[in-house]
Order: sequence, then structure tokens, then C-alpha cells
Amino acid sequence: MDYIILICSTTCHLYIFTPPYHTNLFGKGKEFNAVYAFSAAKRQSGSALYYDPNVSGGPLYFSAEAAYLKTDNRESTINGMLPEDGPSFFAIERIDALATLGWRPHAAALEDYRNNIYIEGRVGFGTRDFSEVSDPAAGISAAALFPGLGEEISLFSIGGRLAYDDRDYKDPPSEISHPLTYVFPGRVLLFANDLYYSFRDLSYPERGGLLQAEADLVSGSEETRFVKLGLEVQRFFTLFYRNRILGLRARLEKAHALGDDSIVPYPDQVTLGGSQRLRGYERGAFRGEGVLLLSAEYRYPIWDTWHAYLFWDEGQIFNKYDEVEVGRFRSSFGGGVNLRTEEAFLIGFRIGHSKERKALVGVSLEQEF
Amino acid sequence: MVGLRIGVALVCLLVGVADAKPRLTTEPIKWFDADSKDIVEPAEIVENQVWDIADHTFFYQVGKVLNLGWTARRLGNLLNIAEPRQADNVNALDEVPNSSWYTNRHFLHPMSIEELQQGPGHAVPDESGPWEIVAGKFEGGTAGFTIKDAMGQGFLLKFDAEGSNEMGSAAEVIGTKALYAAGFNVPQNSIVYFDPSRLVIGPKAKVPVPGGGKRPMNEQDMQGILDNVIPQADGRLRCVASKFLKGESFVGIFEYHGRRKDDANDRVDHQQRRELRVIGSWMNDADRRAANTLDVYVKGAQGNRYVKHYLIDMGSAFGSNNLMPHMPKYGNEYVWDPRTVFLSLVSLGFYRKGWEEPLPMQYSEIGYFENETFRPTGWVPTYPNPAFERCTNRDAYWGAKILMGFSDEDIRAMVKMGQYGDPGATDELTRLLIERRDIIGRFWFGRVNPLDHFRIDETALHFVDLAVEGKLNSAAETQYQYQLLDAEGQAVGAEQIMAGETRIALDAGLTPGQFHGYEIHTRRGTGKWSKSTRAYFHKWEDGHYQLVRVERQE
Repeated sequence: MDYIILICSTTCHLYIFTPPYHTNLFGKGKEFNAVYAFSAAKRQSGSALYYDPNVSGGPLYFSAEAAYLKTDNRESTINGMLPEDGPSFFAIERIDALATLGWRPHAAALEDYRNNIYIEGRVGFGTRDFSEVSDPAAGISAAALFPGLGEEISLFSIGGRLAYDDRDYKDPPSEISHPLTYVFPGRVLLFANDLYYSFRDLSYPERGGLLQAEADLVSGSEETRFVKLGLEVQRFFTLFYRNRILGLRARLEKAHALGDDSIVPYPDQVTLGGSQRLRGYERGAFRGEGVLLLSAEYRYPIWDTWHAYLFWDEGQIFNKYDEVEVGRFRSSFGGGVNLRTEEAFLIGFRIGHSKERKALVGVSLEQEF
Repeated sequence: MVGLRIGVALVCLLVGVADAKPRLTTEPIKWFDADSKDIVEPAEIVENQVWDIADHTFFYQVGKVLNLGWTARRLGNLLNIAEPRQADNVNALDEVPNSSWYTNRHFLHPMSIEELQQGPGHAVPDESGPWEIVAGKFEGGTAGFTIKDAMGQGFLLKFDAEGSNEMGSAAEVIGTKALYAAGFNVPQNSIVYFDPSRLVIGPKAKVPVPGGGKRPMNEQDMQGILDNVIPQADGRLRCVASKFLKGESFVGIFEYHGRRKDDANDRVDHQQRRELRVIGSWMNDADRRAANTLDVYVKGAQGNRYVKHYLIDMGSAFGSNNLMPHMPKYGNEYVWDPRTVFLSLVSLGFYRKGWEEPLPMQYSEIGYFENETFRPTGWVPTYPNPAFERCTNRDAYWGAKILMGFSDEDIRAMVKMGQYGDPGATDELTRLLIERRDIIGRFWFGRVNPLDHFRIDETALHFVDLAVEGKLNSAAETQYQYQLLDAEGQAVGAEQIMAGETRIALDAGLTPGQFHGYEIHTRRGTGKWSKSTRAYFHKWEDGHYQLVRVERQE
């Protein structure tokens, strides 16, 4: 069922959302999700995803996704745009499309219950129209600080991801003390191969972790040519009592410009701040070609599938690896509550503290870690 | 201080702090509530279950606090200047009169083993002909059929879920027997084994179609339901056969608060009915809510038409939650319980719930039912039930004594009616229910002095110590302290102590034509004296006394 939600932001813009729309396309488990947000003609965003978890019924999966964003930094920080700063006032219109084909050994019914390896390749296309809207003469020397400013850039990408994911996976026993239909919140059991598999709750892993490496070669107009690398490690531990969890995360991301004149457009630079990374700062508070993020999070349940957490994030932005220093880390800490069902993330509320913000309150609609 | 005094006075005014004087009369004890007077057929109440849950979980809770009387009484309770509001339908002997809701059965009028097993009746479909399917049952937790047998009797057949064979059906039948013996109106539910070839699809049988509407049922629809039923070794199917209740019409559910506005017989707010406040914890009847009730417009023996109130759907009792076992949390907290959510949030994960580490489940036929985490005062249904919420110590004592009225043999006899294939399951559920009965009895008999069955003869006031009778305490370790009271409830005699007997000899010098009473306290071993129980009587003349009132200290 489609419905409409009205949200008033801090500056009282009205947003209209059509929430994600999940379907079981063709009765074969294909998914289509879409979301659209409208604030004004100059400020809109939308995305759509088609996902086929079992291409031809096998271990291959395919997804096609597209995203559209049109916004500016006037009274807004949407998508990491810098907050309006004096005369500098920017606007962006971007389109991204990505097609991914992947393979994992455990597909179909066991996928949500098994540890897995993911090998995937992807190709993408995008456009960036990044412009300075007002009083460019009084503005900062934009070209140096904001690569790609004033350009209309088209770009292609090709890349891939390799991951080993055993978050919340435990060896399946052959006997259990409860019958097959016994269901704990988020703990559905599946009987297969004479073993009892536990559903892996990726929103609240109690053990295991994720090891992931990504690389994308991006090439386009206006000297846009770079490689984007990403490495992520997550690990989860049960503490003093069942489902009181310590989660650790390290993420390294780096865009390497290829060639002396090549650029990494401002919209494609990596950022810190916001709901997932360095949470005591505004979204996109820091931006550069490289980011190193370290997070620790203590999670504990407050209701069936709801949990609260305390976090501590350390992160820094750099353009070259030799700029990375212990002393350059920025800290933030805080806590929050994530509300979810057994199948989907609903909403998260958090409050973070950093040097710049004593108490930054935020809402999130996804959970990256 | 002036402010506090004004506040206390206001609280007293709002809650109407009870006069300490006993209300004594020689009028006959009210054992029957005349709530079966002829009325016009009331409108059917159709319940929206989603709204019901939201209402009781959120809105009703807020409304309760905004009710000045309720809030003042709660404040009064906390300040110890007002007692909790007692149930409205209690007679002078602190018992519940018979009514269209409730009939005193096993506790006051012990039933034989056969009567307990019979319950409201052991009705099964007639097997001399086919069973015509009138409709499929697609709503609710369990799939099934409504059928008409060769005698024209209507039944609802409900099946167990795969993986939980026998669980829901046994719970339904055992729960039915127990609630009936306790005094409630329940349908005739029986275990039935039948050959599926007996089923034939009737011309009126319909199935819902996507997008709304219905179409005639076909063999595939019928088979679709039967395919989910695990047959017995001989090919027969096991189900609960629930005989259609007799009446002029079904008029919907009853709520656990408020009254039916179009039923002049419905004079007591449902949340103030004692019989609706109790019993649930023993049976772990966690799904006891409006959706599992039924009002039937019936015709009485005198041709009077009135509404009779039934409890239905006992498939979510004991360890069963119909299709699957109960969650460990059921009975321990509401499905969404702001109290525990808040505690969990602020405790940073150090608050542990007793049920968080589920115990092994020995019998899938029973489901998840244990006594290790059970606490009589902590038990709650799946969401707030306004009647349960108002359960006082006296109500709980009343419920506990009904349970304690079930002997070990009584409980075993009722459990047997669940017809578990594994005798071990029968033994285990019997053991758990006996154990839970004793936990409940021990707890509430510790809060309210468990002296009951008062009677008076020419020479003495007699009573039964239910804790001793129920083998929770021994007579040898028990002492009673008693004191004579006048009609005003004031002590007029010296305190006396007796042991080894439950009989207070009447003082020959009592003035005829007046009310008198005894206040009794109980002590076990070297423990504290209990709260009081008072029994008042009227002396007509020497050797002629009338018991008029029993009061239990809350």
C-alpha cells in the first residue's frame, strides 16, 4: 500500500516520502524497492532498486539500482553538501545507475542462515552537475577546493567487491531443545541437511564479522579518472550476558586520482559525519580523497527486535596516506536506539557529541554497521 | 503541611475512603445476580483486533491516568490512606454470586472426577453420516472447517499446526475443562479423531478470494487445509471439535472494561467483575482478551431472553500459542511493555529478565510452559487487560482458592482429556499445573488469611484453613488468634489463641438480637501473625445463629 508521510525538518520544509515498496515480483522472490523525497522543485531525491536474488535459480544474484539527487546547501546539508557558508552557495544535480552481478555459494533458502562469500562485479554510469549558484566572484576560490565545480560531468565505473560475511553465524547443531517451529524474536530456525540453522540477524549480530574489499575504476569527462578502494572489517562479540554485544568496525576508503590532471569530483569524495560515520558531526562535515574510520559500539536489547547502543567513533579525512596520524583523529561518542522488525530496519534515533556539537540529535533510516 | 492535609482530604473525597463499620444485615446472602431479565436483542459488537491492541496498550493506559478517580485512588494506595477498589459483584461472604457470567462450581460444590472430565459436555459430531463443510476457517491462528453432521449439529473443527502436534488441541480442551470447573461459561470442546473421507464440501461453503469477495470451496481448497495436518498412524486426523453454542444469536464479543449499553442486565463495569480478574496466571492464559470472548443472546427457561457471556479459544493456554509454543516472555510481560522497555533502556543492558534464557522444552505437545520464572504478581497477558489490572489481593485470594480446590487427581483427570499420545506429556503438564497451583496458593494465602468455608451452628463458628487443607502448611504448625467483635467491628473480648482445631466456641453470654463477630489471625510456626479475617453473625436466640458477613483484610 502506498502512503504519504509528512515530515517537518528543523527549518520546517515539508518533505513527502513514498516509502520503500517491497514486492515479490513474479512470485519468484524478485524485489523492487523505491523511495522518493520531495522538498521543493530544487530539492528532490529518489532511488529505485531491482534485485533478483537467484538468477536462473542459481547462486548468482543481480541488482540494478538508480538514484537521483537535486539539492543545494541552502538551509540544508542533504547528501553531504556543506552547510551554507556566507556567499558560497552550491547546487548539485546527480544521477547514478549501477548494475551488479554477484555470486555466493549459499543461496536460496539457506542464504539467510549460512556464512557466505560474496564475489561481485559491477558497472555504473553517472552524471554530476555541480555548480556555484550565487555570487561566484565573492566566493572562495572554488575550483581548487571543490573539484568539478562548474562542470557537467558524465562518468562510467567498473569494479567489484569481495566479502566474507559470517555475522551472527553459528555452527548449526543437529539437536535443539526446542521444536522446529519454535521462534524467538529474530531467531527463526531452519531445518536443513539434518541440521538446525539459526537465522542470521544482520541488524544485530551477536558473533562473527564481515571482511570486505571493494574497488572501482571511474572514468569520465572533464578529466575525471580515479580508482576508489574500500576495505572494511567488522567483528562482534558477546559480552557478559547473551545478546549484550560489542561491535568493532574499521573502514578505510580512498579515491586515487589517475594522472596528474585527473580529478576526483567533489560529489564523489568520501565523507565523515552523519548517521553512520563519525556520528557526533553533521553529515558530510569532513570530505576528502581518503577516510579512515574506527568505531566501537556496545549494543543491548530493549525489546524484542529493538536495541539501544552506545558508540564511540574515531575518524579522519586525508588526501594522501602519509597524512594519516594518530593525532588527526576526530572523536565522537553518544548513544541511540534502533527500531526494527525481524525483517526490516524501521528507524533509528541517536544523540552524538563531538567537539563541534555538544548534542547532535539525528534520525536514520538505515544501519550500515 | 496544610497542603498535604488538603491533598489527603481531596484524595479521600475522590476515592471515597471506606467506612470501617461493617455493613451487617440478616437479609439472605446474595447468591444469584438477577441479570437474566428479558431484554431486546442487542446489536452485535464487531471487534477490530488491531484497534483493540492499540487501545489497550496505549490509549487506555493514558486514559486511565487521566481519570482523576483512578489516579487519586492510586495515590491513596501509595500513601496508604485508601484501599484498592474492590470488585463490585461480591456478596457479603466475599464470594461471587451466580450470574450470566459465572456459576459457582467446584470450589463451593465439589465436582466428581467424571464431572470434571465432562466439563460443559463432551459433544462430538455424529459419525453415522458425512460431515458437510459449511465454511472454511481461514481467520485466527488455526485453520479448520465449520461442519454440520448428519444430526444437523454444527461444529467448528480446528487442527494442530505442523511441528506442534496435539499442542493447540490439547490446550483447548484442558483449558475448557478447567475454566468450566472454575465457574466460567465455555463451549463444548472435545478431541476428535476422524477419517478425512468423512468430509464433504457443502453447497454453501465459500473461500475468500484475493481482493475481496468469496467463491465456492472446491476439493483443492479443502485439501489445502488438510495437507497441513499430520495424520495419525491409522490415517485419521486429530482436531478439536467445538460445538456451536446454542442461542438465538451471537452478539459479538464482550470487552474487559465498560458495559454493553444496549443490555440492561449488564450493570457492572466488566473491569470491576471479580471473576474476570483472575485464573489466567495458573493456565498461562496469555491471550485472554476481548477477541476470545463471545456473547450469546439466549432464551432462558422462563422464555426470558438475555445475553450469556462465554470465554472461548483456550488454544493459547499453558505452553501453547495455538500454532506455535508460547514465547518465553508470554506471561512475564506484555508483548510491548513500556515498563520493561524503559528499564532495559536505562539499565544499559544490566537488567536481565528471568525468561531471557529459555529453558529446554521437553514436550512439543505441551509447548513452552515452566514455573521457574513464574511469579504470581508478575504474570500478565499479552497486553493490558483492564480487569486483570484491577485484581486486588482479595480477588487473587478468591481465584487462588478456586485453584487450590483442584486436587492433584482433579488436575490429572482434566489433563487426561487433552489425550496426549505420550503419557509423559500428561505427567509433565499435570506436574507443572500442580506445582503452579501451589505457587499461587502459597503466595496469595500468604497475603490474605486463607480461612474460608465459614459456617455456624448451635455452639461454634467453624472454618476451614485452606492452606492446611491444600497441604501447603500443616495443622501442627498453625495457630489461630481470635477476638470477639461487636456490631461496630470493635474488639470487645480478650485475644485468645488456639491450635489444632478450627472451631471457635460461641460465648453463651452473647446478647440475642444483635450482631457479633470474630476477628481471626493465623500464624505458621514462629512466623508473623497474618492479616485478619472477620466473620460476623447474628444471634437470634440461644443456639440459633446466622452467619451474615465475611471480611478479609486486603
